[in-house]
Amino acid sequence: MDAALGAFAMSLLLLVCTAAVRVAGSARSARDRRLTDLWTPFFLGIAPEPPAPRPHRRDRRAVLALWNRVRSAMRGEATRPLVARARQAHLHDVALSLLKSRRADDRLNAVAAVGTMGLPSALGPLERFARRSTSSITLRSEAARSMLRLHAVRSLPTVLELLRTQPDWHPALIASVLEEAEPDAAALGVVNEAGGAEWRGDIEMASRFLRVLPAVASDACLPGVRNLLDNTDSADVQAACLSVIAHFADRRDARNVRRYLHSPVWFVRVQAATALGMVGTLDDEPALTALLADSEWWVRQRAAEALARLAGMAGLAPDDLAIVFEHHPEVGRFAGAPYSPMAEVHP
Amino acid sequence: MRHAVHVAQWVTLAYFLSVHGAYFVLDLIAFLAVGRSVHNRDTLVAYRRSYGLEPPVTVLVPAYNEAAVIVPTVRALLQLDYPQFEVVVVNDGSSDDTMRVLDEAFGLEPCPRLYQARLDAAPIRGVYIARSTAALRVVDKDNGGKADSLNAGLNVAQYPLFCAVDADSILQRDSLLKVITPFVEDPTTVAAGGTVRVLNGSEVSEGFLRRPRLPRNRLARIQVVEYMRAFLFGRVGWSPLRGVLIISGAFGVFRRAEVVEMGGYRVDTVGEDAELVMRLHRHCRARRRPYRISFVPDPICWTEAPEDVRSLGRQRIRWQRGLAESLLGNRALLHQPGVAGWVAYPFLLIFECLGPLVELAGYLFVVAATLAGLLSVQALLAFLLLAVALGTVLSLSALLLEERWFRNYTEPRALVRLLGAALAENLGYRQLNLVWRVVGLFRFVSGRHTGWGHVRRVSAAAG
Repeated sequence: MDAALGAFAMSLLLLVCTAAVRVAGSARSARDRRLTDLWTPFFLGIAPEPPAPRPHRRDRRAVLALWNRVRSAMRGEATRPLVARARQAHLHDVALSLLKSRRADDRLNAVAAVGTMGLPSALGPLERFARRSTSSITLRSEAARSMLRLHAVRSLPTVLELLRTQPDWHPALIASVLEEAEPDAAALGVVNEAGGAEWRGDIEMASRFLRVLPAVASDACLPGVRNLLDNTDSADVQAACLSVIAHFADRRDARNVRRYLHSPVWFVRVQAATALGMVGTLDDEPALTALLADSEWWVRQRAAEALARLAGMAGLAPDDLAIVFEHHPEVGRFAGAPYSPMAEVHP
Repeated sequence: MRHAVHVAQWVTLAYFLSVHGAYFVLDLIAFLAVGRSVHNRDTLVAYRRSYGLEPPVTVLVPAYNEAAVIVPTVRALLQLDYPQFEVVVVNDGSSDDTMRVLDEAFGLEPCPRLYQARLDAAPIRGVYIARSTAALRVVDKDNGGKADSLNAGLNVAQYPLFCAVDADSILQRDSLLKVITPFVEDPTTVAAGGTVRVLNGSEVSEGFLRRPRLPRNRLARIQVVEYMRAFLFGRVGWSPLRGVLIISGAFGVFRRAEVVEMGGYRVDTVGEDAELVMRLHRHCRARRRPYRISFVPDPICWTEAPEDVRSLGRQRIRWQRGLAESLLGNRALLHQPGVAGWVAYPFLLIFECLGPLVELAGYLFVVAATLAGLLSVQALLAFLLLAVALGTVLSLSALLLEERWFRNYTEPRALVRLLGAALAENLGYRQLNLVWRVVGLFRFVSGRHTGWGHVRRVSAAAG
């Protein structure tokens, strides 16, 4: 009976706690709304002065998060006035102190803020965050971004070294980190890393770095990619190089690409056909037509797409295009389809 | 005789205390895990969104006789806040106008090439792509059940992750963004589930939840508290321990390659959702692959709960049968070291699957022993009070967790009504549930089949 009464007493306590939590939650929501109303006009430049010389200790976390929300809608030079307003409201002190917070969301907000605010003293802590394997991927990648925002030239080698040790980072994530660096420098750095990995025999890492290059969006990588393509025996690296060449579509690569149309590895032929569609000419029609009889459906599809593309790029009149399609029905089928068929096994 | 009664009395008491003790431990873990997860949730989602790093997802919607809701459901799904996704509706040989209404609303174009027979499924009648959006595909097939429909959907899916959603479930616009977090933060994640909540009484428009409200129906209101407890403790509590064995069929995200490699959903069970998760554990462990199966505490899927005793009973009988089938089919998990096989599996087996038998026997024994004069009335009262009080503590702690981190029901009266439901849950409802679960176990043993198991629709979502 005592145990039952004890449990009921516990229920009563929980009831009181729940009611108290509701009251506290309502108060917190009201305070957050008030802070947003007070600080947003200042961050957007509508109000010239901050609502307070510096945020109250209790509010600093919410104010910095609000500043970050406003910042996330801006890029590059557009952030300058916002950074000046952060200094005016002493948010740089807030950001530096929140780097040591026990709460992960505070640390993430602080990591993002210090990079944009340009606080060089944060470079050390950022590097530690980026390297800490126990942190979340979002925090580590944001720390790497902030390092590049703070000092792109100095941080790029460190970030590239970091990327080398993160096999679980998706290429899109790596690309989004490198967006913060100067594109030519990032492209050269990535292609060097890819070359180094290939030399060490780490084919997966080399391919991963190469796949990032299209997103870095600088053709400064092309000489390095050509060099790698010429000197590698790995089919994975060849395919990755050809996909980079297809992306940048430099016609000088056509001769090099043609060499891989007859690779014994089907996915190299896939990439070669795609690349030739981007860098080739109508003279490549016979070679691509031959690939329409390839044993791999993906090669056939890419060859058909390449033919359609070359025909289109050559400015063929609709009648001439019709002749191409008549001779090669696959070309018409694939070129005309609004979606990519992923299978040949029909129900 | 007295000695036997004495022993039985202590066994019953020990069972009650151990089951509640185990739930209290999960309760504590959930309190810590939810706090940490919710602190990060919005910040992580916001940062990821600004870089568009979410992996593409295929949303699979198996549909059987869903003509009344399928169009608003698909329209809502197509408006999900997510960078890249496709919706695959699988019509499982509906006898109503499901296909016709889909065709009228979206304009379906035959496209058999989209179907790649990776998994066995009932014969396909047609594969279509919507003229209005390439993000919608429809598979029309012979009736084969929900699991079979999901397998057919997987044969059309093109993205690395897929999300299985019930056709009558309501999602929030950011549901996918939230549930995908474990996949982004830990690339070894193979499955993630989210908390399912009761939709009844809520404001729904154009297929989206506008405002959560408590149902007027008492039975549904009790289920609100029951769902909170089940998901926040029963699932979230297991997540940090790597012991999640159940992800609700109403909403779960899986890595497609793993599921296809395992042969897809099993079609000979009514609990295909739990069965799949348990098999995923076995599959990954057998191959010594690092993996994680996570649970996101945020309420991201809202589903219709039965408002009449008959429908509720049918649902619970089906769930219990499904659980028993899943556990039996994956008993090999017990031989694989780890929390999933050595802690979570025995927990489910002893407390969730066989528990109803023990609990019902306990109730019957105590009452019978009292009537026979072998047990004092005071002892009977103490036992019943303890059972009710411990259950109430668990329900109230779920309510506290909800109030602290989610606060879905903001009306002042809602809290009072929820507290009432938390008390009512332990006075009659839980005992009734016990009977259904025992029936479910008997159905499992006798092998009686149950079908798709539709819930009679009562909310605005149906319109």
